[in-house]
Amino acid sequence: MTGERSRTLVVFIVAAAVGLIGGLVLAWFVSPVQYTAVEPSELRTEFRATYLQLVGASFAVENDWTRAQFRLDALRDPNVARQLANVTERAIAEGRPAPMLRALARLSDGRGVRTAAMIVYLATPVPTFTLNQTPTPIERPTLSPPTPTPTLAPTFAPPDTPTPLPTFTPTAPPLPVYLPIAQDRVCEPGTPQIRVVVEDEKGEGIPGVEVWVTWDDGADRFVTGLKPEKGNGYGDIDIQPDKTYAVAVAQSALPIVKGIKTEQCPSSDPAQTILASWQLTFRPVPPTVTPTASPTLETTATLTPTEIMTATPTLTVATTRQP
Amino acid sequence: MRRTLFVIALGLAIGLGAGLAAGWSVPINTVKTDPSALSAEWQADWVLMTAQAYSLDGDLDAARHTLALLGEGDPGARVAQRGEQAVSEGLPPFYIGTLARLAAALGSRTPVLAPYLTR
Repeated sequence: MTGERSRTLVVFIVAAAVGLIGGLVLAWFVSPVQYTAVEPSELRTEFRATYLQLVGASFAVENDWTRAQFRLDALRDPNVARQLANVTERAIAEGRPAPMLRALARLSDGRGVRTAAMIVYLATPVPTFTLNQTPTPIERPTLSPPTPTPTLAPTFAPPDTPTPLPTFTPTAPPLPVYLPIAQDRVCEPGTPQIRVVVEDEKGEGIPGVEVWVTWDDGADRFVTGLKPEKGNGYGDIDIQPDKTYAVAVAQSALPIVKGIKTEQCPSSDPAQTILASWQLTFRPVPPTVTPTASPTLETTATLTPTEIMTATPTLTVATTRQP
Repeated sequence: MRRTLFVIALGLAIGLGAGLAAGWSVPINTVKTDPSALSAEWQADWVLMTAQAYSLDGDLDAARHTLALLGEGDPGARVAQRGEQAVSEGLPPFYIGTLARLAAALGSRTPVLAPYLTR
């Protein structure tokens, strides 16, 4: 009896051991764990290549080294530099856009892998100067102070956070009221535009300010900062020659600048018609200033000696107060 | 004999169960997956990077293919949703503009993103 019980126990232990080994083989090799909600480190090889190409494109746009490194580190792969180099070479062979190639090459080089094909994209571009044969006179009427400060070179500063989705807790500052400080006529070839520059008190561009442009039978809007190469506070919209436009900035319910029309610029070549664009610069009203209701400014242009323009733009300023 | 078979089956079943539980709890190997398994945050980043790539090359087919890797669903709506999320997060307008333009190119326009379409 005891011998039979021992034999049964041995059979059970052997069967359980076989089952255990079978279970481990199944769990580790036949049907291994497949996670959901994973990080890029769990991507298969072919998708890693796509991911790396996207990281390169994003780096070309954002120029944020920290963020790009964070995205690369998410692959948790010691050979990521080699993979990046492969992706770069393939992108070069496919003729991808140059900014993307430069970005990929910089990332790969930064990770310590540089190939011959990359070298041309790693060279510092030499600025080329193009002789402007048709000078573009800019007429700047003198408005009441403050005197506009020259716009700083665009400094595009995307959020420098190591997380893929920077969280931003908006605070609620009082909504500023903007007033025009300059209205410049710009004569240059191309479609006439209304160009808006929104600056803070220090003359630095403010991105993300909504600008409404209205005309007789329509309206459109845009936000500043969409063209960081022209300044963080810059935005523009094309205009038609036969329409009159008004511009409202931020939360202003009423137009701040009205009566904007394009007009023909003087040109030495009668065959060439150039329609003027208008560049409007806005700054917030200091809190202590109490704007008067709907003042009308008549401004007379101060002309430059060489580029004489006879325009005397009329600038109608209507200020609104926010509650 | 029947008793022995029963003991063998019981031992195998218990051993197999324990082996699977142990193997899946302590994986030494995982199945590499596709972008549809990425977490929501990484999928959102994937959409943003796709929009930025589109802003560089203007290749709508490539953008559509890249977005399709995230799974089924309207890619335009997905990009528009990411754009509106970017607005609420306060991302730079230039980032939002890339999302707005890709969403519009994919046929999805929303009032929130309309001001960011100008380029």
